[in-house]
Amino acid sequence: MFRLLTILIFFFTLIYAHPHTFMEVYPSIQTQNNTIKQVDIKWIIDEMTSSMLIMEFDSNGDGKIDKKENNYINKNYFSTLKEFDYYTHTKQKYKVINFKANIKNNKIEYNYSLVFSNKINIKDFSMSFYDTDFFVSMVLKEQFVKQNIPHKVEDIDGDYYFGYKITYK
Amino acid sequence: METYNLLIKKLTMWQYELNHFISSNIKNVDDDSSITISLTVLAIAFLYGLIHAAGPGHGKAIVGFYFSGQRKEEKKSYLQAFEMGYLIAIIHTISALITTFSLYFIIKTMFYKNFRDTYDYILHISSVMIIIVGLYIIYEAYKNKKHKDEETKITKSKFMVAFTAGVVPCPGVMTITLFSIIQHKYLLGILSAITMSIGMGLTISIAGILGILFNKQTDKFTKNIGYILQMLSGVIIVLLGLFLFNS
Repeated sequence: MFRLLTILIFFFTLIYAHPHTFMEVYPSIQTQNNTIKQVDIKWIIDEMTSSMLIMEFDSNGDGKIDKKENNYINKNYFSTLKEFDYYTHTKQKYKVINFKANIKNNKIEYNYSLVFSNKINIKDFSMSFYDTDFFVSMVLKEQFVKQNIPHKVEDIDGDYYFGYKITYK
Repeated sequence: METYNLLIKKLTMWQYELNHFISSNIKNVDDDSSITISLTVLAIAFLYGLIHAAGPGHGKAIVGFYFSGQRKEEKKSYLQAFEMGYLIAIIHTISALITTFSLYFIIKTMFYKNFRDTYDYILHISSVMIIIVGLYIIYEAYKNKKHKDEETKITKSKFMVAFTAGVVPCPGVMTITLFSIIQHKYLLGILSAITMSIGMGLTISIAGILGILFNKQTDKFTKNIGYILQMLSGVIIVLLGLFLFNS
């Protein structure tokens, strides 16, 4: 038993990566007649990682992200997350629009929206947030969901990562 | 499995909280209250290191398998596990400090991208080194089948294991150090990196102790086939290296 436990601990601690960046996720859904119009998502990146990013993103040092800086972030950082599905996973195919980065309280915020080509009933919709590499830990707490649509926030225990899923009812 | 996932969640959430605590306190270090806040930051950095290394990676698997595969006559006290754990933590931290300062003062731009790329690059080199160490342990086991061991060989493989497991810089240490540099708290940044590595060393040492305990358990069943166990640990270390290389 002890042998088995030791082997399991060693194996599992190896196959899991571990997070070094923490991102809070704030999802918000726009609906019309129970159909999803758009999903707005905000990420707030932890202050330590943000400090690294601000050093690079805020090239003119004015404490704000202007249009040119926003385009740079979008091109060099945010768009590259496409291969990770922007850490945003849904059953339905979506398009990402309206990317906007901000600096608030020394933290970097990413705002973006998801739009869908098909009509989706809110009751058929759920979203999951995770990084399969688990270099980034997505944090979704109940209080981060700011709306009255009934929903449920659950943990996701992937084999190699940990994340959250929000289901609407 | 469910318990393990719960543990990973707990470890992740603690790190999320500690990360926030450290960043807000490093910022608040000023002349009036610097000693108290600095000591608090260092204590939290120690705790952060302890928990951070309890999560995946940091060479625990390699250390665990290394000690679980050592033959009976090669086993020393638990002190060896601490020696190995702290050797890895020291190399891990020095590697992180060198990478951080190099990236910050030489490259400056695209830090975050370079930070992740550098990590991936060194991880690949380290994977190859882990495979070599595994093969070396297999070779040692083969030779030990015929001869009694020589202390020098054991020491050599011990340092090889420590180096290969520790050479990948810890992004956690890099982040704290860089954040301190940006806040112009250079000394506190380096001290935080050191105290974090002391915490990590303790956790990695525990992995070594688990390996020794495992070895003691199996001694009852494998009195005369210790070299097989040693060979098996070498094979597993090679597999870990292959897994890391492809991940």
